[in-house]
Amino acid sequence: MRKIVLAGNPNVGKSLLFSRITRIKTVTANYAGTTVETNSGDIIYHENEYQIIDGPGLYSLEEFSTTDQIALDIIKDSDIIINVIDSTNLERNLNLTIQLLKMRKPMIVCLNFWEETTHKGITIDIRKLEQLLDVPVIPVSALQSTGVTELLSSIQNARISKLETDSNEQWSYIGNIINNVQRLQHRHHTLLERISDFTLHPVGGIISAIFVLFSTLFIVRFMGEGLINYVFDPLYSKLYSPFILDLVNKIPFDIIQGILIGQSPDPLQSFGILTSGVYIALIQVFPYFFSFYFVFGFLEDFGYLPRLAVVLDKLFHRLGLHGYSSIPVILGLGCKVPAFMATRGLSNRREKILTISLILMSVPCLSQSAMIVSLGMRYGVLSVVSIYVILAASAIIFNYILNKVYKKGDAPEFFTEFPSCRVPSAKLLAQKLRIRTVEYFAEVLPMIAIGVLLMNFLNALHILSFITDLIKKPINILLGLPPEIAPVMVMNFLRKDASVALLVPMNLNSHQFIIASIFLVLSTPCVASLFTLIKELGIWTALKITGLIFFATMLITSMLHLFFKVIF
Amino acid sequence: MIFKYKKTNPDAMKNSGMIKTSSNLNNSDNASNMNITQLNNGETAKVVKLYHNNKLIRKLEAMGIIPGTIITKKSSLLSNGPIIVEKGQFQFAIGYEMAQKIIVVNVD
Repeated sequence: MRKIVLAGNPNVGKSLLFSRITRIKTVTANYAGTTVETNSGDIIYHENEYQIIDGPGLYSLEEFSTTDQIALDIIKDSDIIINVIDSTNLERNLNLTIQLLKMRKPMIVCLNFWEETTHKGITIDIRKLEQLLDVPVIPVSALQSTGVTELLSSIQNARISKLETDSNEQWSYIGNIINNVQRLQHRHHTLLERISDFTLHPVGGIISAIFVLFSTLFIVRFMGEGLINYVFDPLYSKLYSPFILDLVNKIPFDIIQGILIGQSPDPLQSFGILTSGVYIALIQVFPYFFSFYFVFGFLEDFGYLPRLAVVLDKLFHRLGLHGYSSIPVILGLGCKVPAFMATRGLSNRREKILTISLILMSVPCLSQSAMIVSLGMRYGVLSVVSIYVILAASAIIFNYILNKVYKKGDAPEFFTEFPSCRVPSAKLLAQKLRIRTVEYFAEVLPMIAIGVLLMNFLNALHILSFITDLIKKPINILLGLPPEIAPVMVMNFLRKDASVALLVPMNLNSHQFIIASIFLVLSTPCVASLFTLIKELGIWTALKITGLIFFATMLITSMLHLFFKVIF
Repeated sequence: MIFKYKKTNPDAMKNSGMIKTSSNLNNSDNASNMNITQLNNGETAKVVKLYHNNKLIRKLEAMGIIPGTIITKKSSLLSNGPIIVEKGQFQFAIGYEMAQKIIVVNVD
């Protein structure tokens, strides 16, 4: 079986082409750096078996990063190369093409985004290009799924090019090819191009960023709440809950019943896997996860994300990070689970850890935020605002310290490529959403179930009540909070928004509310995000960070208590 | 930020005028050589030199930003923020420090 590799610059459509050829669905997006791992799939075409391999993009065969090395290894290992090119950026893409030709492997050039050349007034003479490169050249639109069959049937014609160029003269040779092969027509800027220019303008960029951030939060909140209230919650209480309680009650073993459905019919208190576990994972976390990826997928495919990264880069520099970290942090405003997953794209471990701590320290997830804001309003706007200000300040200070301690290696300098703004395809968006949903059920759901099981054991062994009794006194002294808050703090691990709601009957004054809210936001990550964290960083680092943040939380809240006592 | 060279870079030193050679004793062009950050927004310029001591600069070269290339500075963000550059259809942003390593000369 021959190995065919799809090689090309980042963001030229390799992954989408891969999907079209193999029918394997992958997550694609309109910015460089989407693909960080290799994907492969087997196909049979006209009785020939091939293994198609997709990998990260690279600009040159000279290695610049670990992902480049991955891409290089795949190419070296392959039998046939399909060089995927962005037809609207021919000159830049040809640099890699010529390097690939010199590897003297059978090769085909695939001109992707062919449908965009007409819009942009670009004409390319394919026959001429074939002559000059000495390999078949096939125009394709992966987006519209055209040209793929022609591409597959040309595999048999893949040839080893006899092109010879002097490496030093490579760019003038490329310039020569361009002059012979490409014609540019002047035409007016399209609306998309105008929008693109606006987002890159110094002031326009900031305006777009603010607009995008606010609309995202608004839409996600709206969608998340809507899904919970009108779809998932009724489904749970009217259909699932009675059904499962009935079913499990038929099981004669009390212990198993206890594990599966817990002690009480209220899913928030029962600790049963099939009740609490399902409730948390499905009813509370998933709607936000889904809504966020819905909006995020759109932003990804539109091509907005690199533009946001640029606007925020300066700000993130102060925190020892780069603009690209802004994407996970923005995600963290909604739900920390996709936020942590998004840190996979960051270039080194140090950036990953710093970004994750920033996410953990700076903002509560949307559902918890919603609770804090709506419940906090009775104490006045000032209380609510001060909560967020204190959180932001602690995050910045914490990150600053972490920055100093965790020394910089070779800090990557800021670079980002701006793809053209494109109208997202609804079909692709739906496909991505489906992939991410499946990922959620396969990975996050089991983690939540395990977390609930753990709490169940601790409860059954009376460890939970033991811990609760233990912390009552210190909580009172250090933080000035009533002893009833102790079980809520323990509960916080499972449900971050419910724990805020449980503050209501305690009749706290505004200072206590501020301290309690900050404690609930920072002390521990919720069970879903904790397990995602463990998956992303490994258990020791995850526990270290969590421990550090807990310690910082105690410090911050105690100081706040002291501050309030002294000043007021 | 001070440029730190890993090894002495005689080309750069000649260009900066620290080593006098016959070319720059008579060459007043050095005065008009500037880097991208000194261009006005929207100005077009030709790349003259890239200071080599950096992975990113080499990556930019791989993308066709080499001496002789015509580029446009699209915009810059706030003070010392990233600079947005355009070359034909290709748009990208680089950090301020990096942008200072790309020496250009005005074309108009």
